[in-house]
Amino acid sequence: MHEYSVVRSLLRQVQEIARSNGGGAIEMIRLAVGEFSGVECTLVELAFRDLAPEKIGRQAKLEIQKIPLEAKCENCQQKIIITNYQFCCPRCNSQQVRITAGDELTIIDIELREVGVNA
Amino acid sequence: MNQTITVNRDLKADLKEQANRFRQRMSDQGTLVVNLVSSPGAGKTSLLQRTATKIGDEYRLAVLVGDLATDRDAERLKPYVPVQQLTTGGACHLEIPLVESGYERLNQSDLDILFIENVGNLVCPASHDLGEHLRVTLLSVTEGDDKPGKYPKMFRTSQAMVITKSDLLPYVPFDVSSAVEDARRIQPELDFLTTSSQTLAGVDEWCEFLVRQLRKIQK
Ligand SMILES: [Zn+2]
Repeated sequence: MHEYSVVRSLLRQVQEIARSNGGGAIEMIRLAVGEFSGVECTLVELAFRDLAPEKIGRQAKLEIQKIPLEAKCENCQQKIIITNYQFCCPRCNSQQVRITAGDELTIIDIELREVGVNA
Repeated sequence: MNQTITVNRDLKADLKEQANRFRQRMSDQGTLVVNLVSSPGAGKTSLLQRTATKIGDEYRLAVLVGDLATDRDAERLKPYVPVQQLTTGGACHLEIPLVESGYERLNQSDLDILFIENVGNLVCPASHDLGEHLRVTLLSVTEGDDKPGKYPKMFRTSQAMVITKSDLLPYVPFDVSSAVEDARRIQPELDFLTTSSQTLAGVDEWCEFLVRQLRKIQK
């Protein structure tokens, strides 16, 4: 379980981004989490609820966009949705498939409250 | 009105860059880096002892040992090979900053093979690039042959699987070929070896495998 260290790193990075963009309070963080990223979304949410209030304030919300595991067959170029982690092309049976999406853990964007405006 | 800042940044970008720099540096100096992962008790330390006994005179080896809190594994290895302990303070995996600082403490720039003995865990270490050239998953026959399908990311990101404790095969319901089949559905190019640190079966083949990988780095 390394979701706590993931969330700690997330909070550090968004604090830095907020600081270099005027320092407004962080209202929203959008995170893309791939199915094959190695982190559990529910555990990320738990860790966020636990750690965020102290670090970036109670107003901050986390929105997770789940990304399914997708691949492309190197043999026939077919695009494939991988289920049950069977890395095999359903069209030509080739196992030469390359992951094209689903292993990401990416900060998409953050929303900052405009400085000088009260909530 | 809120202000939206577009970021589109990989959360682990800094760690990935550091891992790539470390790997390049090790390649440039001809050091093969091998990251050993497994469940707790699969026999990483024993296999490293046998490896050091077998090829430690001919090749310059060193081990970075990740451990949650104790230094027991490091102590077991010290008589065989230079060791640095990496204490994770309870974390379930190693990260590249810890590995790189452990490597600096070894103070040896002429290594042939640097082993990283990861924390016993088949989940979290799968998501952390330690700058290795080779990720090897150990699977002991007492764990069951259905492990690969349960830990797909670890097997997908490994280049080799070593089935350990093969001396126990007559006593446990472990089918080597079905474990390999299961793993290769996830990672078709996976190499596999079978070893026993008790009888030393397969240890020669394992060492030959390592030396072949080393030749690719030192070409
Ligand atoms: Zn195909």
